[in-house]
Amino acid sequence: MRLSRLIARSLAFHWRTGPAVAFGVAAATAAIAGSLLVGSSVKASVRTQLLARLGAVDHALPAPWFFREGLGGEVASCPGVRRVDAVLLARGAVRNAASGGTVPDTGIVGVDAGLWGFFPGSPAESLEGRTAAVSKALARDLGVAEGDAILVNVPRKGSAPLSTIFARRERAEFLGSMRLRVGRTLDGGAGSFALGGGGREPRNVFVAREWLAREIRAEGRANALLVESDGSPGTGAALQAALRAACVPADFGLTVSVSRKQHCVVLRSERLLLGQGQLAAARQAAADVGADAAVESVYLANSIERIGGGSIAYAIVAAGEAPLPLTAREGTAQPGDGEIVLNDWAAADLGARVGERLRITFYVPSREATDQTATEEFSLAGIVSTDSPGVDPDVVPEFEGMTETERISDWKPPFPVDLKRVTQRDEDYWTQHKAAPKAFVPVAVMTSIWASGQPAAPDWATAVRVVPRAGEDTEAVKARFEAALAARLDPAAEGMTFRPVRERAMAASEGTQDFGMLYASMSAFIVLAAMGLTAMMARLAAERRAAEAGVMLACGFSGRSVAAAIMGELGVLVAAGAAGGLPAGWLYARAMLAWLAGGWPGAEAQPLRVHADALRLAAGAAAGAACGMISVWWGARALGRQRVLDLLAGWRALGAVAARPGGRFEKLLAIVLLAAALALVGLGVAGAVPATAAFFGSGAILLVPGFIASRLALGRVLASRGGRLGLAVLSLRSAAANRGRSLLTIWLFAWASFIIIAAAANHRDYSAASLGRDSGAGGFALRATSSVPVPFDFGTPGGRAKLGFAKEDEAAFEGVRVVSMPMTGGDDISCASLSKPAAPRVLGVPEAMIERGGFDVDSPVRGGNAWALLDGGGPDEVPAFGDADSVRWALHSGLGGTIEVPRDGAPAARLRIAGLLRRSIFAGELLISEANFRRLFPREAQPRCFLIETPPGAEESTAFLLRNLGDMGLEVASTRELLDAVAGVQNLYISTFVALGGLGVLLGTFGLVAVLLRSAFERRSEFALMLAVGLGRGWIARLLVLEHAGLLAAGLACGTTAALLAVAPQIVSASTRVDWPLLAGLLASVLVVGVIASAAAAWAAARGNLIAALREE
Amino acid sequence: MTGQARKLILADVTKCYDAAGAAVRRVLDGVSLAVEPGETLAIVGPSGSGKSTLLNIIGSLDRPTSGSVRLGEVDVAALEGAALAYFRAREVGFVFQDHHLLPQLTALENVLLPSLALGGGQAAVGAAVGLLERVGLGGQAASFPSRMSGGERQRVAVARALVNGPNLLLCDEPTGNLDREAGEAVVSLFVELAAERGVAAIMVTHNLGLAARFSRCMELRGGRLAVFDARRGESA
Repeated sequence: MRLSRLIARSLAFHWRTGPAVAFGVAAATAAIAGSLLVGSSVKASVRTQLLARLGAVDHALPAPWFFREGLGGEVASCPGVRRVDAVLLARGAVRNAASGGTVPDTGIVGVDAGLWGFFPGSPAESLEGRTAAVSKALARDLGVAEGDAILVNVPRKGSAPLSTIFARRERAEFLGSMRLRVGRTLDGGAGSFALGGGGREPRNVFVAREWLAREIRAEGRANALLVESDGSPGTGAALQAALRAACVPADFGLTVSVSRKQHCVVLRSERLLLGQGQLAAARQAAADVGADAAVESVYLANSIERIGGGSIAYAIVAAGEAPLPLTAREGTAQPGDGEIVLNDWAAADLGARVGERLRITFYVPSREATDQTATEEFSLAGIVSTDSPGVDPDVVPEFEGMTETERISDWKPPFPVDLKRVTQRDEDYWTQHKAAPKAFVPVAVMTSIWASGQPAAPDWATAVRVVPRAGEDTEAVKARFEAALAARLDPAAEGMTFRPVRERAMAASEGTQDFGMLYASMSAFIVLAAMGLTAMMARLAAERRAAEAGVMLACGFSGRSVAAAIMGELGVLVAAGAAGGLPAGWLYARAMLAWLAGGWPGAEAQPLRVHADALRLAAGAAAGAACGMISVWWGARALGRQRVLDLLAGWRALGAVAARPGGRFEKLLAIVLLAAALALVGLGVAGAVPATAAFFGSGAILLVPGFIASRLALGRVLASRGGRLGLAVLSLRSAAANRGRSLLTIWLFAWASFIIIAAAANHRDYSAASLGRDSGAGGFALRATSSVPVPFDFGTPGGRAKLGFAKEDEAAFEGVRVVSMPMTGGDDISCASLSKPAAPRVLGVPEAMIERGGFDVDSPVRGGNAWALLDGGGPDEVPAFGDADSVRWALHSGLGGTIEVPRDGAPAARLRIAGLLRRSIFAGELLISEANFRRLFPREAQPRCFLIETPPGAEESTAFLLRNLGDMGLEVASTRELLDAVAGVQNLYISTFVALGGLGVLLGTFGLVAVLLRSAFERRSEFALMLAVGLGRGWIARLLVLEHAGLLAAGLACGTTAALLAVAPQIVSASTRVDWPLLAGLLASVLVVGVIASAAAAWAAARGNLIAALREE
Repeated sequence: MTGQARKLILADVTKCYDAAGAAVRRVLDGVSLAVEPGETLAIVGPSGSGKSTLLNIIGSLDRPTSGSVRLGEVDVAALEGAALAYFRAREVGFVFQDHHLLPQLTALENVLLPSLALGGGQAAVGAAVGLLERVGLGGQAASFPSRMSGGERQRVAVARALVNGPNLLLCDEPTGNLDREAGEAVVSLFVELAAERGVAAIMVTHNLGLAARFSRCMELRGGRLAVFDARRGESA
């Protein structure tokens, strides 16, 4: 015979104990392995989702401007590249033409047949004309089917920045509105196409690229390249190098032309203004071809007025860094400080003479649409010939609605013009000289004119004049300059960078947090309860084997051998339980994912599926087995402490040893902790310590004296002598005789009820909360975001008028205040996003908002306006605020931490967390000052996020009106909803925790039931004796019920009392909603199950022939 | 498998128990005893006289408060850990009042149980089978204790006590749970086997009739041992 045979025999003989031990281990394994599977499944689901959105695309170039559609073909020969396709990407709003239902933030994708190649299984046919393919999610949102009509609003390709007066900003001009027919709905695959970001399933409309390009006035252009490569390393760098080699000035929106009048080459931008990088490249390129570069700028003056009489309307004013090629007729040709020079045509019109004072008036850009003007006064320093080379219409960029017209009377500029002021002489000038400047001012004046009305100094140069050396052919120089400029322009610096979108998706799928560990921690109760169950059953098993162990020791087995035999037997049960727990773990993961997916905030369920991960399952099984072994060791360790003779006396002798009644230290500790808890409550009430922390701390502390008291009480019961023996005393004695088991029961249920109540009390609900200035809403009732910049401020009557609001709506906007903020297109950092943010979204907080303050900010500032911390910052690092939970859980940082925000073509911006907003509406982004924003993210400086303060009760009417801007991509949400959405994730976790905790407690209860049944049967001889001495079966049943229900009740009472103290501040808070009936029901059900189980055990134990049991003794 | 025969010598053995709130209770008070190999000794005495305590101390299941217990050159009271376990396995065979058979093991396996402590082996199986046959249970080797009578169980326990060839065979009230005939049969077997194997055998009992079958009888009274005439039922 071998030890293994002994183990096998014991297993077979004690088969009743085995399943219970194995069940406990299986439950622990299921909870651990299931939790780990949740983690890997969330990751895998997010990865699957993100990769599905990319199809075979692994690199993408989303450009800030429109480049030649042929650019894709020119980089396609790059090594490692399999496929390149140029597309048009835009954000817009889509409306159901029949119902009017609108989806504001939709991807409008101009494609040719090439796109479908990235998505195997997608229909390969091309789209034509007004036929569109829409994603299934969008079709569902809009309620459209194939054949239905939809209206798509998408921003047109404008020729000037929205921050200037020259941009078309009125709704009808700014947006291209198209009526399309749904030709096809795309389910998954290409339908969910998106280059980045997690969150809800993308809503897309696919139209023929050529057709879309025509509609948005971007013929022959694209603004994104999609690449499929063979995955070889270095493809991104190779693509970028190929892009740099292939790009020509046109790909950056630059035009190079020849000025006939000046015999020079002129560089201008389709986007009106030349950026600093472009100017630098142009200067270098000019030097490369041996030419001189001169930077110039023009602006439109509404009028040039001679002070004292006479004015001319609508004249171009110019300035140059270098002296302009002007021929003086009178006075000087180059204006000095405070001086202006006119051409002789303008001077004649004004009747002006050198030395006279002139005033120019010009429009200042304004989001309020107030048609604000400004003036500058000059002294006329000279009059130059209109035939001068510098009076050149070719250096004037395209002013949309003006420069392309034959006559001034045909002008349709984006700002108001009074054509009645235009004279025939003005028309004659236009006919002969087009937009050639009439006046010249110093360059400093011109830069200040462009900067008027802007929060930060913008670009101002409108042209670079490249002057060839004498005798050189201008056309030849143009060609050489173009080539040199192309070589000098860095696409990356211009925001054209190939992004490794697949790699980023893989990184994003790592998630904001380790759901495996999150769920493992939330499942801790189940694991603990299962371990408790296992330990209890192991203890019973060990006790059962006490005499066996005694015999073995007496036969010469060493203690280690005896332990090995018992642990070997229990180990087999543990292994069986761990193995059996794996399928249960899979089911557990499935249930958790279904709960997570179904309860996730927002209407859309997250597509989460269980992904079997052998490593995690093995880890779960190992952890479950480890928990099981710890439990059985804990349960069986009592044997090791016993003497051989005690063991031989049998298991009943174990435990029935009078325990020490309780040391002074324990009593002293209990008193000190009780005093500490009371002191902490006092400090909380006095405000010296945050009330939430004070009360929670005192509640948690209170548990320990509770435990000590129960331990001392049980010890005292067993140590006490005398007293009237009755049912209560006997039940107490029984509980005390098994003090370890009894205390474990009390502690388990006390902790469980404490944690469950404490967690449930943090369930947040803002529906009835007061959202004042110091709340997470900052006193704002609404928050709106737009997928495209809103060109006017809808917080002003002028802006609203330009945006199409009726005059009669104005009354509804009385008292409404809007704070507009620029916002990057980065990733949502809130806990509601399952994917890891690669580039956190950033908001620019305007100065007015900084001065206003508000919100609940945790910062080093005490007593002042914490928002002032956002001012300042250097080139290396800028101060930022972030939502406390998002910074902690999604960015894994904290106060003082630094977050890097990647930027295209520039080093990552470093944001230092200077303040944390508690439970705020800014859960999805980081906040920096607008000044820093414009410096760090100049291409995204237009406001896209709006905080709206309304008079009390006007929230809904304001939101209703603002939803009219839905076709401009504006989404309006109440801050209450936003806070609820943010709290929704937390609430989901809390409800999961409470549910799992409840499950754990129930498991613990069932464990107790198992122990109870077992011990009831073990005590049959005791009961028989009771019967023999005349006590009835009912008495025995009452004894058991009283003993076990008492332990349960003691545990629940201890935990509940401590928890109620711990969460007192939350209970009285208006933003907390505790589901008391559910909680009370949960705890009551535990008690009821315990009582019923006790009764059942008592019934089972007391029935049958107990006298026979007595005889067996 | 019988080892070299050794003499058991107890010198001035005392055993005291602390009782909370009461005076120290001296159960054994300077007990001295020598038992030769092959000798059989019955120890009688009233209940609570310390018979079992003395037996447990001899068998290394308990320790004396003072005094020494030696088996040959081995100071039993000084043994610890593995040495103690080896001593129990190699030198002592115990038969308890309650047979303490493992219910999950067959009779043969129960007999083999002590051999596991010494590594088991085929030789042990042969010895166990032989012992079972010797105690008249050769046909019940595969029976479980639950299928056996009390006397049979106790005979298995006797066989188990002898399987490792001990020098000392100890028996604590082996007939307490048996009827008279079965009890006598077990004791006869016990004495015969001890004689056959030259093993020193000590049994504690309050049954003078059974004690009379032993070569020597001593009474434990007041914590001290005295020669006792079991046939006459009085101290010698």
